[in-house]
Amino acid sequence: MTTTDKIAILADAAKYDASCSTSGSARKNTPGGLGTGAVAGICHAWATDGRCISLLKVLLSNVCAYDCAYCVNRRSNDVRRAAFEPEELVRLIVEFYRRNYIEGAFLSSGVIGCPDATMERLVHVARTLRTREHFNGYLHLKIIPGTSENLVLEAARWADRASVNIELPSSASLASLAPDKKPQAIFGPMRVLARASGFEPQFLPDASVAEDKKLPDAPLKLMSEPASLRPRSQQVYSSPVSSFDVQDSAGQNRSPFPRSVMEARQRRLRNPEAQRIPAGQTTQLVVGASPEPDATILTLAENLYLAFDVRRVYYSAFIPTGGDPRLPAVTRPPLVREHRLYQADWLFRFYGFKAQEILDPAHPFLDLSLDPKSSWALRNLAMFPVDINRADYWTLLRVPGIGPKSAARIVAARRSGSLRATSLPALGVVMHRARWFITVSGRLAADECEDIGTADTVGASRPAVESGISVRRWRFLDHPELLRRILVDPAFRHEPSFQPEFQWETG
Amino acid sequence: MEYMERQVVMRYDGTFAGLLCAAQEASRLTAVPHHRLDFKSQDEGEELFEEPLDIQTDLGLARQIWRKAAAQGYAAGLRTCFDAYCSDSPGKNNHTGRVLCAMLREAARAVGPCAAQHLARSKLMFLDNLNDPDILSVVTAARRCRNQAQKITGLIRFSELVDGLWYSAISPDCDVLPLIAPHFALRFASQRFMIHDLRRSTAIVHEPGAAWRILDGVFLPDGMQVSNLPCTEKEFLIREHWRRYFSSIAIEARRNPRLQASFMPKKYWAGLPEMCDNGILYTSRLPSKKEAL
Ligand code: SF4
Repeated sequence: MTTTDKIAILADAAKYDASCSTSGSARKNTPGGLGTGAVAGICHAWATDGRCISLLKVLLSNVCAYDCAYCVNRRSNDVRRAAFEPEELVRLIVEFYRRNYIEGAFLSSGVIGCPDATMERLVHVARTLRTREHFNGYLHLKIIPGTSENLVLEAARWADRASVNIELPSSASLASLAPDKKPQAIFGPMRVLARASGFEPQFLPDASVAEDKKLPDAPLKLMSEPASLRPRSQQVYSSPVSSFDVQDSAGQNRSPFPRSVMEARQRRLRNPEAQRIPAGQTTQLVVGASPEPDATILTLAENLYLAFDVRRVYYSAFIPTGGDPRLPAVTRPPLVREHRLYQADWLFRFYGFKAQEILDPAHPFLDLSLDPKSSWALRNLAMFPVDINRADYWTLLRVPGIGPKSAARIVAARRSGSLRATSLPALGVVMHRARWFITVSGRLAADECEDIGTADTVGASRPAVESGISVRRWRFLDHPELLRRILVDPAFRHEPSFQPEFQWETG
Repeated sequence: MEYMERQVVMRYDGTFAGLLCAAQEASRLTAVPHHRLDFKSQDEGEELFEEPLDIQTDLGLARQIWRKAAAQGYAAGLRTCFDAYCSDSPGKNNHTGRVLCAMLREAARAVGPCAAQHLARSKLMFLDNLNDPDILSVVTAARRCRNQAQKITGLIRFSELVDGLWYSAISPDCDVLPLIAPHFALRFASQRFMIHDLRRSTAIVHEPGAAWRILDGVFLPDGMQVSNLPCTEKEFLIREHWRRYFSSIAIEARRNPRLQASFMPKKYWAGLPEMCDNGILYTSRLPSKKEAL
């Protein structure tokens, strides 16, 4: 079999792993060596499915001793099998890298023999690249569930990032769909990886806790200003060694983690002496192959961020790969649901939302036709309108159509004079969403910004016009149903059965 | 009176150093508010009755201006101006010149006992004032230029030539070479490489062990084109591997060529083996000089 054939088979077998981020590592070039890390990550190409390609993502071998129902490579599936010689793979990575095709490699493998034997082969490739080729590009190693601690640490030594896939949102689903993988075999390596990035892992509560969570009364009170807006001198760090991210005293309330993921990430202090893997760990789970609702998935993700210092959780829409009787019969992958989960995940990481704010027992699934932030806003209309010239950063962040960048720009720009509605688009505010929720120095923005309306706005206003309310003067906040129709994603407005195309979020 | 209302035109040689000198000169004309200043490079046409002030470019002086302002805390602002200057946004010379001028005035004002305090306040706020149309244009142009540089950093493809040179050709809208050079010089420190801007006939040249340089007036030898460069045997084999990888990694069930093209616009395809027939690179049609103006 030629190398080209092997590439075809082994890239095809690896493509369902969503992770492709190359951020978080600033590895330096060594004298005579090849390559550097780029902290922000770089995309090198985009495949025909629109996903970013930045790493050579292949399996070392797609021969697998396990039988996970959702996976193409499962033992019982009849596919062509192949394996790279370690040397062949090393050469390929170096040659691609020299041509600037890739940032590095993402190496994984089917289970050959036992987990340790498989892991040893993966580590061998990484070690060869680092020591013999002096390769300083990005390496992401998949940790095979059940790998022993020594080998996980050895992987952490050579890689920039490692990941153990959690695969399914509950242990019950894991037992039925991936019978060879036990929860301990997954959480064990996760714990080792958390420590290898300088973080002491914490107790992971059962995902079922989600069931009795309620919406908190005043979500905004709990938060403070983001570190980036505070003057330098106020960013006090305690000794980095002794007290990194210990849980807040007195586990009050039912939630064991009173903080939002964003806050926890901002204040996270990692022990530099124990840190060997620069970009930490990520994980992935399959969405739609098992019955758990979004509330369970998001609560699990939140806990992984908080308890294991996971840097990213990837959600991978289940793609039917040949009828395994253990799986639901679906014809197309739940891409929209996956997209909404990523949006909710952004709300955790960059907007200071908590899982229990996004979903609650009464609404265990994300609204497919509306983004989770707008959904939240519609359930919390009492806190609107928000005034652009007075509201603090955190309140601005809660407005649909205002993101972290535009909120920061608003806060910065109004230092040199108060803002007008017309200057908001230049700051990155998406007016056709934001206008319904904001006032500008006391005046409703919807009145002021008729002139900056776009074709989209006109389309969006149609429901209002149809119901005989003058767009100019109606108090839209008193009409949640109308507002909802305005905010619904255009793709869902006319043809409910249409499968819209969404941006696949990268990085 | 009428004279006072006229625009004051500063004419410089079109280089960034020239623009810095012009801005410095302009900042001394304290009677003229910065929105009444115009900055023109020599190859821009002259208007009727225009009496431009011709500015001599002095590299040493330009360096001195940059260092001084940077030391006063305007390093990020200067950088933004430089990136805007490299962009292709119309009117960038004017906007950048005015913002530089305002910045230098601001810096000059900060002398005396409260200088430190004054500077701390003004440099924080300087580029935040997006209500000012010049600042807004400069910030937007700089952002556009950086975004393009960022995208091109990923989309550069080197070919291994028989003489050991790693060659890459691009034709970007913005003049991104100065923005991307440090990244490639660090990453491929031990490689001899060239990144050739076909549109501007400039190139980054890097030799192992030496600092990178940007050369002007770089052309391919007669009869040679991007499509028939003297590449090594291995080069074609590796391109083939890459093309196979590229087509295998896409998930058919998520096919979305529109999304792909929105991230990777057609104008970049000429240099990408994965997007060219049989992996043969070509030169995309370049706009003629007339079109470009
Ligand atoms: S262990 Fe399971 S998920 Fe991994 S390759 Fe084997 S069958 Fe697929």
